[in-house]
This record gives sequence, C-alpha cells and structure tokens, in this order.
Amino acid sequence: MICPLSELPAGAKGKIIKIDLPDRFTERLYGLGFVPGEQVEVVRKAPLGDPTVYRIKGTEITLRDSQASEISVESDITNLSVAHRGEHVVDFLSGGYRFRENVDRMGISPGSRIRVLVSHVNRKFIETNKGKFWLPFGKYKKIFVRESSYERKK
Amino acid sequence: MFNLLTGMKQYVANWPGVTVEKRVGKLEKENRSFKVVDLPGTYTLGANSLDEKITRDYLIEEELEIVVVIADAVKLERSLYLLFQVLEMRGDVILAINSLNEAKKENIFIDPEELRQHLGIPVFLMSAYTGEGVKDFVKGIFKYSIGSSHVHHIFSKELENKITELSSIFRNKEELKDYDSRWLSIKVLEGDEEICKLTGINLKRNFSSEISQLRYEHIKYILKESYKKPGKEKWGINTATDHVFTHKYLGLAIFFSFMYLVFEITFTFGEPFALMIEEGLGVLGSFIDGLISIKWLADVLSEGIVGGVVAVLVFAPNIFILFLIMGILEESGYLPRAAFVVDKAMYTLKLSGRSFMSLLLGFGCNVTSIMSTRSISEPQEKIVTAIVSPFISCSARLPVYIMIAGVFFSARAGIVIFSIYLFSIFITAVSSIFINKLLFKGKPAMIMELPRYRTPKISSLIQYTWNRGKHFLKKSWEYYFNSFDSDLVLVLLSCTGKYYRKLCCKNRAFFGANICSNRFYMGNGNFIDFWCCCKRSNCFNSFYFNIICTGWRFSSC
Repeated sequence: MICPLSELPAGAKGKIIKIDLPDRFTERLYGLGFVPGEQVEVVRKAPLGDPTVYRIKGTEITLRDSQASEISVESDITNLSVAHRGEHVVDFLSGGYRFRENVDRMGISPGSRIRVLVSHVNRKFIETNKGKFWLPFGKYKKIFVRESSYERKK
Repeated sequence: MFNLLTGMKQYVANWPGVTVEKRVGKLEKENRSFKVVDLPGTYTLGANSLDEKITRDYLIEEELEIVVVIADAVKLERSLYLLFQVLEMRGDVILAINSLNEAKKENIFIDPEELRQHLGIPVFLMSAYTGEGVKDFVKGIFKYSIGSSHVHHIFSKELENKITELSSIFRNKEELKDYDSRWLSIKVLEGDEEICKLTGINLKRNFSSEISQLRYEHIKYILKESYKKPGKEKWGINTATDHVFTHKYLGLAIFFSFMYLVFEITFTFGEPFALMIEEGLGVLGSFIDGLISIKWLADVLSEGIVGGVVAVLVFAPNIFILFLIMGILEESGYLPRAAFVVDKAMYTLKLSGRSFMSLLLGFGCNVTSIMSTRSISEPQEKIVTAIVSPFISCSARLPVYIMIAGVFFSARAGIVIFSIYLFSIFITAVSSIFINKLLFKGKPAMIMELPRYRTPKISSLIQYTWNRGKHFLKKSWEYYFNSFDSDLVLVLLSCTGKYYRKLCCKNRAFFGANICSNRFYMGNGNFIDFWCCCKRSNCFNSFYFNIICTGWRFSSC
C-alpha cells in the first residue's frame, strides 16, 4: 500500500517511492539517503507528536510532518481503518500498555489473525480466535495490519 | 580535524553543519607549507543553503592543490555520496575516513585497499578524536598533492549518453572553459537552477532522483566488499539513552529539568564571581577617587571608566558559565534531542525547538539569551530568535515591576506582575510570527541529524567556552568605548550637573553596550539619560520600557 511517510506509525518500515518537495529540501534529503527505493524506518515521534525520527542508512534523521507528508512510501502495513473486509495479520499496535492489554483480551496482539466481518465508518465488527467483537474508531485506528498470505494468493 | 592539522583552536561541535564560514589555517612540514581551508560540512553540493553554496563555489572557483573529503566511518555510505559529487567536479581528491574509534566500537570493518582500487584515489583511515592514523594522513597529503583526474562512469547508459552529448556542447563554449564539462552536464540533468542559468540549457525532465539513486547504487556496490557492518544491534546504549530522553512523558520532564539546571547554574554559580568583580573594581574606583583631587576628573575616571568596565565585566561570569553548559549539552549530543522534543510547540511560532532554550534563558538575562542564539545553525531562526528574545521579561526588570506594582496597584501587585510576564511572552510570540511573516517565506523544515551520544572532551569544552565568551567581551568592549567617545561631551555635561553626577556615566556604558538593565536606569531617571539610552539601544523593547520608567519617575517626583 502506498501512503505518505508521515502516516506510518512508529516502528513501521516502508520503501520510498517518490519525494514531492521543493528542490532545496530534496537535494538535502538525497544527500541524507532519502532516495526512491530506499528502506526507511519510523523510529519514534516527538512527545508532542511532531516531528518524527526516521532511520535511513543507519542514521537517525528528524523530519516535520509537513515534509514527511510529501514523501510517499510503500509499506505492507495498513491501518485497520482502511483495511478491507477479510483476513488480516496484526502487525503491531501503536498504543500504550493499557491499550495493548485491553485488546489482548480480545485476542488482538502482534502476529494474531483477525477477520473483518462488518466495516462501518465509526466501528468495525471483527472475528478473532477469542470470539467476535465490535471495535470503536478510537481503538481500531491504533491497530496496524498486514494482508494475510491467504489474501495475497487471491 | 582542522585543529589537528593546523594546531588552531577552533571549536568542533557534535552537530553537523557547525562551520558556516570557511576557516583558514596553515600546515607546515618538511619545508613545505600548505594553506588549509576548512569548508562548511554539508551533505550535498547543491546551491540551496548558505553552507552548501560556500563549499561548492570554493571548490569550483579556487585554484586548489588537493581536496580532502572527510567521511564518517560509521555512516560511510552517505559520506561517499558527497565524495562522488566532489569527484564529479575534480579529480584531485583524498578520502579520509574519520571516527575510526567509533567504528571499531561497533565492530565495523573497512578495507581501505579495496576502496582505493574502486575509487582510484588515496584513502586513509583515521580518528581525529583519538589521534589514530593522523600522521599517515598528513604524510599522505604531502605525497599525493599532485592531482590526477579520475572520472567514474556510474550512471545508466541512457544518462551517460546524455552526459556525453551535453559535455561536447559545453566544451565548445568559450565562457564555460573554467568548468568541468561533465560536471556541468550532470548538474543540468539534475535541474540545478544556477547551472541551468549559467549554461542556458533547461531540460524539460528532471533526472535528479535517478542520478542520486544511481550514485547510491554504485556506492553500495563498492562497499559490498570493503565495508562490513555487523548485524543490527538491538539495544545499544545510544538507543536506550534516546528512548529515555525522547520518551513521551519522561522526555519532556527531562527537558524541563535540564533547562532549569542550565538556568539555575548560570545565574547562581555566576553570582559570586560577578560580586567579586564588582567589589574589586569598586575598591579600585574609590582608590582613584582618593588619588585625584580634581573633583570632576575623579568622577569621570572612577565612575565613568572604572564603572563602565564593571558594567561590562559583571556579565562575564554568567556568560562564560552559560557557554560551558551549552558546550556540554551540545558536545554530548543532547541539544538536538532537546530541540526535537519541544519542536512542535515552537513551530506554531515559526521557531524551532532550538530557540526555546535561548528564549527561556531570556527570563534570567536578555544578554545571555541573545548570546546563546549564536549556536543556532539555521540563519533565519537565529535572526528571529535574537530579535524577539529581548521581549522576554528578564530578571533585572523584576525590581522595577515590584516598585511600579507596589505604587500603583498595591492591593493586586502579584496579579499585575504575573500579567506583565504573561504579556511579555505574548509579545514575544506575536513578534516572532510577525517578523517571520515580514522577512521570511515558506515552511521552514527541520531536517536534522541526531548525532551519536559522546562524552564531552574537556579540551574542546574549554575551547568552545573561550571562543564564544571572548567574542562577548570583545564586542561589549567595542560598544562601550564607541559610546564613551561620542557621548564624552554629554558625560562631562551631566557630570557637572547636580542630579546626574554619579550614575549616568555608568548608565551610558550600559545602554551603549545595548544591555537593558533598567534597574540602573531607574535609580536616576532623567531626560538626557533617557534620550541617550533610546538613541543607543536599538531594541524597541528597552525603548518602551524606558518610557514607562521615565513616566513613573516623573510622576513620583
């Protein structure tokens, strides 16, 4: 899936596809290793949410969201909010300890399989190995999934 | 690195892009001497920022014997990107791979022989921090100072054809004789504005993305055999420290406690020294006073000259301590993290996290605040921070507030003082936005590298502190004597007057040095002083404050 770099959560990795910034920024970004085809990792967000540290070629570079949003990356990680109906593998959860414990009780943890059954704008009905649950928007937007191998074959 | 070669005392920060102007030194050995020029450290050779432009123009225009590209052993891939850009311009290049000590710590293996064969230029491994390999490198400079050209055909066939095509056009042009035609063609293909204008060729398509991709591909190919990095370390000290310092809650807490410490240490540790200077020179002043029997001359000497010197020197301990702490923060690598942590809050004011620290220091003293902006690397940010920081209400104004609030609003003095502080922050914020709107356009970026943490070296801390502190002394000295000269008549005039005899000379020295210490002004507010002060001090802030002070003074008289 292709999305702006700024939308990847901390811990995710993506491949740079295109950089759409003014020349004065792109030149410096190229020098730092931000070239199409390169793998970039989101290390962490600042305490106030912006800017973000990215790791590229082994160095840590900070970018503001206003720049990162102009860099498109390809990542196999999708936010559950844009995931289609069907089976997915949970990649990781971008929430705190409480949140992780909470969804763990529903059977949602990194590596587990979930199936989206009904998808509304503000809630989703999902099936896990522990049963079927309604997930509100506040929760599912913190869950990131990979397409499962089953879907890829299709 | 530069200091090692030339034996000069230049501060080297743990923050990329610290040199913004070129520095010149001399290297002498075996009856031969070299002029060594330290160019600003950059990532690329575009012409987009000041440091990049200085470096590039120098490399194009000057007659150089040899260019040394200093690469970082830990981030060799990226450093070689710059090397290739230099190689496109000229062939007389030496590659020095620095920070070998840190690479060894991370078990990185570099084969200089392999690199030498691929690149066709001399390659040296060294560490400026420990001094390892430096001698070989210096020898190398002398040995290889006769240049040879080396062209790397690293681009795809399609691009190489285009380059040859363009090169042949450029080679026939008389006005482009001084430039390397291959370099010109690459720059045109990259869509470099300056070169396009120079050559008059503007291609519709911009190949910059492909070109940089191909450069990296070639670098990867070279490094495959000559550079070995062990698999990713999971949880090094660097990562662990970073995790704490930039943590969601802890990071902010650490940031504020560090800022508090900077503030506290600067002003409490400096206080005894400042007192010592004041007392010591006060004794000298009264000694002179007793020595000379002519009253007005004694006044001018003791109050004017000695008093003026005191006025400047009193700030020196604070400033030196401030720079020492700033040096520690910068050298250790914390400062970029601090900037990162509070960046968002400051970005709403179009400033960055880095300027937060300067502004905070302003609550103690505006002089230290303005001085600390010297280490902000973005020029736009530096200017704006320096302009707005006098609006922050400094501690020297507090006695004045207390007096005004006590006289006029005795019942609600606390609230009044508090709101004055709030107002000063508000004015700072508004003027920052206003000045940015007025002078600068576009969204400022924060493309910043977070350097590795490192233990500060005492020798470089001393260099850092002395270099910056010295600058303050020199500048305030100049200001003081300039204002003293031009105001000499006024000084004499006021010294003979009944009211203004004593402190006005001191005052003038203060404001001449553009130091807004209004409490001294308060003591003997009078019109001549007020007028000179406003004339001398070129910040509006002290202007508006002087009006308030004078108003109060007149009304209380």
